[in-house]
Amino acid sequence: MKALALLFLTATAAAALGAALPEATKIDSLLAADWQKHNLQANPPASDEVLVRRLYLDIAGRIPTVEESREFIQSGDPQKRAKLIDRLLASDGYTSHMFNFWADVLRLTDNAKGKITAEAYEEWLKKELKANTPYDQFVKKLLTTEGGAWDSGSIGFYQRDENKLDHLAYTVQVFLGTSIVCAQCHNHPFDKWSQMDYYSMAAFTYGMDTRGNGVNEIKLPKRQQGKAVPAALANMTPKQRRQWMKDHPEEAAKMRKEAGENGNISNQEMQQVRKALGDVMKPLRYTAINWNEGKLPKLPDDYKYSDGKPGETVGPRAMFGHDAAPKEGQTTVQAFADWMTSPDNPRFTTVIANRMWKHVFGMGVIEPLDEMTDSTVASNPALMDYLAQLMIEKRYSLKSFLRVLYNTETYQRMAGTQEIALGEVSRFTGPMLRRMSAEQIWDSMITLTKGNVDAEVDDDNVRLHQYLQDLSMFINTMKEKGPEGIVAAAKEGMAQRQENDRKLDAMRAEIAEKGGASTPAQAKVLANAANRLRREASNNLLVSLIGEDRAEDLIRGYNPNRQMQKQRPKLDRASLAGMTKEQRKAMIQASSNTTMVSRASELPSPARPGHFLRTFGQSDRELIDNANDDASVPQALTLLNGPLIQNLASPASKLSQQLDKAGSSDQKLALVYEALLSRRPTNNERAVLSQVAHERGDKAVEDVMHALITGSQFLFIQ
Amino acid sequence: MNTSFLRADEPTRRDFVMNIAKTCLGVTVMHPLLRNQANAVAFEGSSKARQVATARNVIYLYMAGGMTHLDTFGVSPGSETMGDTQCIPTSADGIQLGAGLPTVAKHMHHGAIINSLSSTQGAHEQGNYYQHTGYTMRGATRHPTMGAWLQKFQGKGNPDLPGTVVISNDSKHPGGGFFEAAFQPLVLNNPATGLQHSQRLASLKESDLDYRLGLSAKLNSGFEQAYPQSAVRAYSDVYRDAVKVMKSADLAAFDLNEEPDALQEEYGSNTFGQGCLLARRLVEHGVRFVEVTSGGWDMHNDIYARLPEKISELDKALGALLGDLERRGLLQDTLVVVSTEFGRTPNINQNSGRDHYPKAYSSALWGGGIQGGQIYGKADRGIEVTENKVSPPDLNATIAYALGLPLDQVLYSPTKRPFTIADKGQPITALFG
Repeated sequence: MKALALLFLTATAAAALGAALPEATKIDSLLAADWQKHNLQANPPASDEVLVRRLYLDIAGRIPTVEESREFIQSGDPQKRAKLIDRLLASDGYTSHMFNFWADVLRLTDNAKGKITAEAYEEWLKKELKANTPYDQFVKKLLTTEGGAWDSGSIGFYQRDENKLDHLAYTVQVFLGTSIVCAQCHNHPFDKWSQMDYYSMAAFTYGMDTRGNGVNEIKLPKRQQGKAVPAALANMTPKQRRQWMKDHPEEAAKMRKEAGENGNISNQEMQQVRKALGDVMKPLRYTAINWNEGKLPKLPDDYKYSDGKPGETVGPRAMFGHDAAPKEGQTTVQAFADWMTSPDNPRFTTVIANRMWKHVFGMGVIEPLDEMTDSTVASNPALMDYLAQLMIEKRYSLKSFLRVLYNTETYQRMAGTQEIALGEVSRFTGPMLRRMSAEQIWDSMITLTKGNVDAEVDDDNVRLHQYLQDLSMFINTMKEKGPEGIVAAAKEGMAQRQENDRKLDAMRAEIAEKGGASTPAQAKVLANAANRLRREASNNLLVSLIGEDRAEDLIRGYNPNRQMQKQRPKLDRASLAGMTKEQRKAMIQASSNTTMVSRASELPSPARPGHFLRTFGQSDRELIDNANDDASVPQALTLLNGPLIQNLASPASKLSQQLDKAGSSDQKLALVYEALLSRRPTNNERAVLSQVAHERGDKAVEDVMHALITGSQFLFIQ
Repeated sequence: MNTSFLRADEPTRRDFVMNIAKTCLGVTVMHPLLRNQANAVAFEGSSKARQVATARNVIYLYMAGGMTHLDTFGVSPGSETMGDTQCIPTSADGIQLGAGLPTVAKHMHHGAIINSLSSTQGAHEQGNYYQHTGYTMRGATRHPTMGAWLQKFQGKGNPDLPGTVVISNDSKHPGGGFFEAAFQPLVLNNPATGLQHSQRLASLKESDLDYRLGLSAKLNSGFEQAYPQSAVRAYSDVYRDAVKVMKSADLAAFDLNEEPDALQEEYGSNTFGQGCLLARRLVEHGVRFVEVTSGGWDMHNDIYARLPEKISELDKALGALLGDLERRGLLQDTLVVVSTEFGRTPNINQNSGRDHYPKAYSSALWGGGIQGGQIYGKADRGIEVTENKVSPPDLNATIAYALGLPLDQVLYSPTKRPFTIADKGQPITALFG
């Protein structure tokens, strides 16, 4: 405690320096009035040591390097806090950190259909965050996006959910902080929303077709036009017609035969062509979305309220606020986007202002932030009103808004030492103590082993764009080629397929001859052969469709990580069998999920279950804001027994290299403190450390490093 | 999602939301509303059927991608829909299987086949979700899978081990759904690696690690005193528990090296086979629900070139598992289920494969109170269900019924919506003796 008191003393002096932003002062005064009302004291100001670590973590998503924290702490510039805030907001670390934040809110996942679209969406998000696109425009871009992934990665927003009704519920929850999902199936039990409200809202975005893929865009020859429908079938519904065909097999067969002879291409052939093209066109699946104006949802078959009938079409109607009727030349979804993002929308601005406040201070002025109702009251209504006003004044520039919050005196105070009980509100006498997010922990580990790697954040993925261009070119070539050209090529492909079938049959016959049932090894050879032949056939077809050069580009596919995967040792059973148990364990661990290469934002999104990031609570991206910061035993096991500590202590790590240069063991141990906690040890701690140095000799440095990594102090943002 | 088992008693976001609900809405407001609306309407159809549990454990084998029913458990001898597959007799009178399953065939007197499954979901992700949870995929709710329901109602079999283990590379497993973190399954990608990081680093002596743990507590004490908050305290707790786990005798449950080579070989030298062996070890140590996934059943092309590999893996592993469980006296209270999201088309397509076919497909169950040697339901030549149609919720309800779980008890999600096990599915009581 003495140590902390010391830190407070140096801090008071620092906080007095610098001229505040007027908006920040306004926020401080609104908070001060609230404290007075509730008879509360402000927390003490935070020291430079506490603040430098907090600012780096909160804005750049990682702890500062030793050099960065020293530079800040030693600077005598009265404006140094404001300057650091500006520098960090302008850094790529901000892009990376905010990417993780929004990826959780928007449920970005590349573990989905249409991986290429998902990756384009991720890259697009980074680019928008880096450019600081005003939030209202950002949302508008998402809502009105259309076309192929090569046009804009933002189509990933709609591609994320196959079910448009679900997607609307997510959209309303994220941008309007209102939960209407219950009303998808019945009137909302606790809020005023009716099922009709839900369908009326869904009608705005229902015309966005996400099933569109390349195959649909390419015109294949239709069945012969003007074909005479037999009189018996003329007045039947399709269902009746199918039944009739079933009941009259002979007539049906005759009709099919005639239809085949009449056209140039029989139905069956056409089906074969589509099949053959299926493989080839696969890369185009889930890469484009199209808007269909006028496509509207229908009430479900079990609709049970008096304001509509089952199966009835529902038109768009805004759930609150002003009308969202399309202006001249606007589509429904464009009108919806205007309505959503208007400063007049009663919830849009409040939600983003509150979300950003929570991001900075650890709790919303309104909690929970995505279940607002008409009776929701902010814990500090004057503050909430001002924050919404500030968001509009800053024209929805999130960086400008955040800049104000970070510059408040209140943010720059110590974190509250007392816990806020569940369901209680914070009066914000300072920010809350927070556990780092999974990504902050990971990125901090990277900082320790590799230093500042913010610049590696990839917001312009050249390889991705090349590949997307290849896809776009592919579609265009196919369109130019026209139906006849495609069919001719596909027929050739069919011939090769039949040849392949013969080869496979021969292999199977051979296996059968040698003794009936196949061994697992033979079965594997057979399955591999099937895979290879099929790949070859589809590649050949691709070449004959679009030429060798372009086909090669497409066949190579988009796989930027192939290099990285190769670095991992391959674990085959044979070599494992030759090892001792310990060797085996070590080998497996080394190749496990803890290989530290790049920042969390550059890894698969989300990381696989079992990965370090997931162990520490990274969102699975299935629900909005689904990350968690709970302690768990696997976290403790990871930090105690995982290869992390070895990585830190290895000669390749930046920290080890710095430690090598430090002089005495006291200096080395102090450096460990600076690297991990951005401060030097207190007097009490120094006493413990010299005892450790005395007792443990060479082992002392790694002991202290491991002891600090496994202490909660490291994991929390004070 | 192996972040979760043995979690300290921490309030989660979910608890938080629940609590807000209580404070903001008030219990008095909430209850009448629920009684009048959602509750009464939604659960009219829930099954009241309940029995004394006939199964204590479940080993759930999931054939991801859609297992062809006609070539495996749903054969239709002599029919043109059989493709190249021949039928073989089994140890049960009148039951035949696809010729690729000779080992499993020896255990059919303990097993029952359901040939009348029918689903509404023809896409992998949706079908997989439906099969696992009994609920169709809907926005903003993740429904729990059976292992989580089991743990919710009956607790864990071994307090030191997770309630459910999923041995799978499927990163989309619905897991514990909306239940708290403690009900999430432990997911193991590779059965050979065991529980991650449960052993001391090779370079550290036990005394070294103890020293570091002591030092960590000492250096962390100032911070803990300054911030007396439960989130901080939780970390001291989990380190204490972690050390307990490291020293626990139950860790051996994860170690396949303790199994004789011959038995490892009998299960098959592949992930699925070793996963089945691990499942048996885990069940022995008190893990009550273990799922093992076998991927690669999505055979749109060249099915008879691909099938031999998958089916021989399944035959070896499942046959070995059933024999092993029986020898150890575990089969009577362990329900073994073979499940998949849908079947495959009765017609062979132009690419010599079979496509998705949710309309009729098959599943099979052994042990755990199942009366062996029976076929339930009929599908005419594997095309159309003609008798005793079974939906994925019904299959889930059947598993729950075997475990003695209440099918009509309502639990609430954090979004305050009411749910029961298996979404009103009806258990097939005829399967039990």
